[in-house]
Amino acid sequence: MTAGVTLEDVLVPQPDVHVVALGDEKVIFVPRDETLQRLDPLASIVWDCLLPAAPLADIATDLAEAFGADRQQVSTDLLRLAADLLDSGALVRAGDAAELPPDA
Amino acid sequence: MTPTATALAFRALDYRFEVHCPDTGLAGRVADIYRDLADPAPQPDDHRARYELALDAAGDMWTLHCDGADVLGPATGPRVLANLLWHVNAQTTQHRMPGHVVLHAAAAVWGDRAVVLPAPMESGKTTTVTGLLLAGFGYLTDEAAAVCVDDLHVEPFAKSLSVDDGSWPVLSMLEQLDAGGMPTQWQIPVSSLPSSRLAARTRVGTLVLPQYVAGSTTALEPLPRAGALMDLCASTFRFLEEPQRHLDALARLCREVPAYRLTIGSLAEAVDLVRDLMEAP
Repeated sequence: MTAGVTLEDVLVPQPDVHVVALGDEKVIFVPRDETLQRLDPLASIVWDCLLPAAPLADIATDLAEAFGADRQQVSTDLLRLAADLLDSGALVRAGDAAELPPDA
Repeated sequence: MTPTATALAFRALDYRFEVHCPDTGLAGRVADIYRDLADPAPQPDDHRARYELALDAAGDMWTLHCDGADVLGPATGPRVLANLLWHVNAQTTQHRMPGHVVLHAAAAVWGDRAVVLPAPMESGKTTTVTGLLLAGFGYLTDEAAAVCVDDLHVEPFAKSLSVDDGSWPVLSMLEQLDAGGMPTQWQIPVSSLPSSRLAARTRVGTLVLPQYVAGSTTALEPLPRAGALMDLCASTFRFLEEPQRHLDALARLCREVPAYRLTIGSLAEAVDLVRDLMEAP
C-alpha cells in the first residue's frame, strides 16, 4: 500500500484513466497496468468528490456532513480508499498530474 | 457447395477471404466447413484476403499462405486445415468493424431476441450454444458476437461449431456431421444440423456468462450491472485500442439488458434454464 497519504493530500484521477458510470457504481480502466476496477456506490461518490481537486480533509468533512457520519471514521475509510486508488494508478497527487504531458 | 479446386469466396463478419486449393478433397472440406459463410455475391472490387494451400512436390505435405505471406508449412493436411481456421478466426476478430463491439462470445436466438454468451476460452461457449441449437434456438455464432452500438443487434457469424474433444461425449450425436476430420476438434456446419436455423441479425435480449464446472450444480444467478461490465470488458476483442468507446458501449448494453452467470454442471439443465429465461415475460 502507498505510504504517506494524509488528509492534506490533494488527489485527482490520473488523466488517462477511463471511467463509466452504471447506476450508482462506476467501472474504471487504468491503462498503466491494463486493469479494471469496480467502485461501489460510496467509492463512486468519493471519486466524484475528487474532481474539483480538494484536500482529502475537505472531502471527509463534506461526506461526514452529507451522511451524518462520524468524521473520524469517514477520514479513516477515505484514506484507505485513496491509498488503494493511488496504488492502483487510478489516482495521482495533483502536482504530479500537472506534470504529465497533455497526451499522457 | 460443390467441392472445387478453384477459389472459394467467404465472408466472416466484415472479413472477406477466398481459399485456393489444388486438391479437391481438401477444397471440399474447406467448402463444407465454411458453407454457412459462403459469400453469395462477392464483388470484384471487394478486398478479399487470399489464402493458398499448396502441396509440396512429394504430394504429402502442405503449406499455407495468406496474401503471399507464410502462415504455416510444411505440414500435414489436418494441421494446415486447423491453421487456416485459426488464422481466419483471428483475422475476423481483429478486423475493424466500425460501430460495433466484438465480444468473445457465442450467441443464439429465441423468438425475436438473442442470448449472448461471453466467456474466455474453455468455458463452454460452443457446447452451450450447441445445446441451445439442438433445443431449437437459431444460430448466430460460437466465437465472436459483433454487437452494433446503435441498435444493440448481434450480427451473424455462422462459422462451423468448433467442438473440442472434451465435449465429444456430451455431443456424440454430432460426430457424423464433422466436416473437418481433425484429431481433436470437430467442425460442425450448423446448416447440417437437423432442423437448424441460421438467424439474421437480432437484438440482444439477455447476457449469460457461462462457466463449465465439472460436477457442479447447474445454476443461473443475476449479475449486478457493474460486475457484468467487468466481465464483458475482459471478453472484448481490441478493448485496449479504444477503452472509452468500449466502456461506453458495453455500459449501455449492461443498462438495457439483464445479465446472469450460468454455472454449468449439466448441459441439458443449462439449456432448460436459458430457454426459461428467454421465454420469461
